[in-house]
Amino acid sequence: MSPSVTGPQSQDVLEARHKRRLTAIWILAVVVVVGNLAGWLGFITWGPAQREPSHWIGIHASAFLFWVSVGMLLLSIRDLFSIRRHGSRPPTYEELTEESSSRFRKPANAVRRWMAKNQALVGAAGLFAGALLGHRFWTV
Amino acid sequence: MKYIREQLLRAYAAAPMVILLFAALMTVAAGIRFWGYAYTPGCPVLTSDGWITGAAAAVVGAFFLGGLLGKLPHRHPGQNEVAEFGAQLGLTIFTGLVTVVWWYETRALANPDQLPPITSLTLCIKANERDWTLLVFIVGALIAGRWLWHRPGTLFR
Repeated sequence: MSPSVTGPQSQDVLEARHKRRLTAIWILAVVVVVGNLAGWLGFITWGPAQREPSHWIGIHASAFLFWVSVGMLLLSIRDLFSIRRHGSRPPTYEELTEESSSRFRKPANAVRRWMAKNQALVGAAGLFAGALLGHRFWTV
Repeated sequence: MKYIREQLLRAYAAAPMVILLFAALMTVAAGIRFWGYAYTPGCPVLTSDGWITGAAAAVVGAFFLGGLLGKLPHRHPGQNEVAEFGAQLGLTIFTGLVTVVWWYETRALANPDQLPPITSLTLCIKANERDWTLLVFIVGALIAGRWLWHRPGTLFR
């Protein structure tokens, strides 16, 4: 899948970024899939309630988020080494949302641009939504 | 060392450094206060009414105050290797803490007789230590507000 991008950035830079993005997705996917499969098949024991059908969904949903966190942690450590050793820096928002003809990236870029432009509004909406949910479900 | 000190003393770094220092001090104080905190399953359950409370108003106010902190006059920092590495290091530590939290939560859900889930701990602390809970939420909202509002291109700037 080669992104068709027109912009000031060179094709080499875009291809290198595309390769790094795929590597990151693979690291995350492998950790999440392998970790969850190991839990579902019983290779990882979280506790006695794991075998009870009424707790199965809750425990494995929590385990799923744990494995996502592990994957994100690995990616963060990888980025940390990359910044330290190669002096690489993350792409800016403008670089990431360059014009694209991809049917996936085009709508995603539009959403990204809107969210970046209204970042504080999105954050405030999240704050109020969290407060309402907390009030509704945890009576706080 | 001198270079790092100069980078950290720049004006634009003052607000996050103050918040970070305050959060660190609060963490130490809370650690001293709650060391050996005994969890009891029968914590009182508090229900609040539908109207916005003073505590909720304080948290929302802190969020907007965080936004105002970003309006303090400062020069554009430009590229700063120390800050970039520090930000990535902070993100990595934060992700590590989130990972530990999810590990504990999963273990707690699978061992209901031995470990209380985080939600019940949070509700217990909220019921028994309302002032501390409010302080934590105010600092969290302040940080979130400043982080979301201080970047160029955000709303109202």
